[in-house]
Amino acid sequence: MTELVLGIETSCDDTAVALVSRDGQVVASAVASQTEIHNRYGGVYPEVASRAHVDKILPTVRMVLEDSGVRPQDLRAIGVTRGPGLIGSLMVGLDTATGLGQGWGVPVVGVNHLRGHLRSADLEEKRVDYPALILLVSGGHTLLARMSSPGEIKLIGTTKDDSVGEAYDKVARMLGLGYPGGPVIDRMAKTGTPSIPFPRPMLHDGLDFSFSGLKSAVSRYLAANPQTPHEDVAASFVAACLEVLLAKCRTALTDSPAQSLVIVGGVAASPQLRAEAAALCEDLGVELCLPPLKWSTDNGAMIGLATWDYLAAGFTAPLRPQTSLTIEQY
Amino acid sequence: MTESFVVSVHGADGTARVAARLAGRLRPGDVVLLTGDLASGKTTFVKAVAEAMGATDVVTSPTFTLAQFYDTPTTKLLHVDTYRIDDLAEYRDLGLADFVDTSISLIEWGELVAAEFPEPLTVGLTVAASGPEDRDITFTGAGRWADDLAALRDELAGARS
Repeated sequence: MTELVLGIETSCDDTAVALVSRDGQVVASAVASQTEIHNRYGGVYPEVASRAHVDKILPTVRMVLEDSGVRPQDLRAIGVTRGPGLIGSLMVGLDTATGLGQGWGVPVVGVNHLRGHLRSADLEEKRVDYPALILLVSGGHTLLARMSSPGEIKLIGTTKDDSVGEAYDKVARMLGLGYPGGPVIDRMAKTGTPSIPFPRPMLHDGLDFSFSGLKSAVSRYLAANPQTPHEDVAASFVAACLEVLLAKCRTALTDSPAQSLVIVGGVAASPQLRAEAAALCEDLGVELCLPPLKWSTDNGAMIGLATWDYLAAGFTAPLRPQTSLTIEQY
Repeated sequence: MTESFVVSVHGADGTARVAARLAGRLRPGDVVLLTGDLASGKTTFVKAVAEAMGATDVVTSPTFTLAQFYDTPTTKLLHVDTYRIDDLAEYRDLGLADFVDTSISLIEWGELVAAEFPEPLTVGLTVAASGPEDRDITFTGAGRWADDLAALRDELAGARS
């Protein structure tokens, strides 16, 4: 019988649970913001609330186990996000996992959320050839890391202020578009001309990122040029973001060659980013790995797969919430 | 009685210099509510407070993470952003109250949660009419803040002359 890990993720908005095998097969996965759980177990859940995790977590665990017919006693381990994240939200996941583990007689492993994101590229099928360069681009994070193997991670660049996903959302708000702003900006950008020379923050300055200044530049431009078509503003903003992201990837891949470039996180959904990354990889002869978008946002499966790395390395971390963790920590 | 004054600065560096002056007057339990539009300099202000207090972590925007902690040699800083929070009930569900009592709290988009705190210091950042890089920073506080704000106003006036 295939050995399975139960992955639990509660670091921010979503309560997510999944069952994952050692080679990344996802036997079951549920994210409690999905309507299915809502319909099946009832209740109304506020979007942002650590206390809401308390209501959602046991029904979500139960649903995943019932759907798959897996008996708790047969689990190899429970892997649960220990940070970084909101302290109250993390505590719900950690306390629940600890209680379930003791009751079922199953070991519990505390997992770094960021390591989960990086491993999401190998969910369902093995995609990543090592060594790999990883670009994590989401609302909460913007970073570049090298992975020589699934467990060996070196951070080589990170944002000094805002994430790129946050810049997308805030520019969307300035343009009077909805939330989340990423997809709307991308669509709008396609019909505009990237004619405004917005700054490319830290373009030739190492591998770190900065997007706060770009956000401010868009704000100043809109105040001074209210007549400019918003399509052109969106197109120019997207062009600035992509030029910075891709230039850093090119530098990193040139400095230290990799077999594959992996892009994960919510902004990996951007069609423009996907197209330009494909062109870069073709130019450099590197494999481009884009995991299915459903694994790009927070989920339990990525935590489950990362848990297998911890088990293989024999690594255990205290089951206490950590509000900040770097990607290099376990 | 409520003390209030405005200081005008140029550029992110100007905002940071004023924030660093405030940092020396903050102590555990203090709550600073930062208000101001997108790109007005709220995160820049918090960054400068943290640096002035000796935090070594890089201060990033908590818009998505909602709340972040930074260690300084003397205390913890709690950096909160209510941008994605709809109301006071959602803020309370974050369960931060215990930490607010023992940390110095800096809350972006703080107007949403002002009613939660008996004696907050409000720092309003607005783009000044004089130019897009210029900011008017308005400090408003009562009770424990009255003396500190009067002293801070004099200190900033002295630093500029």
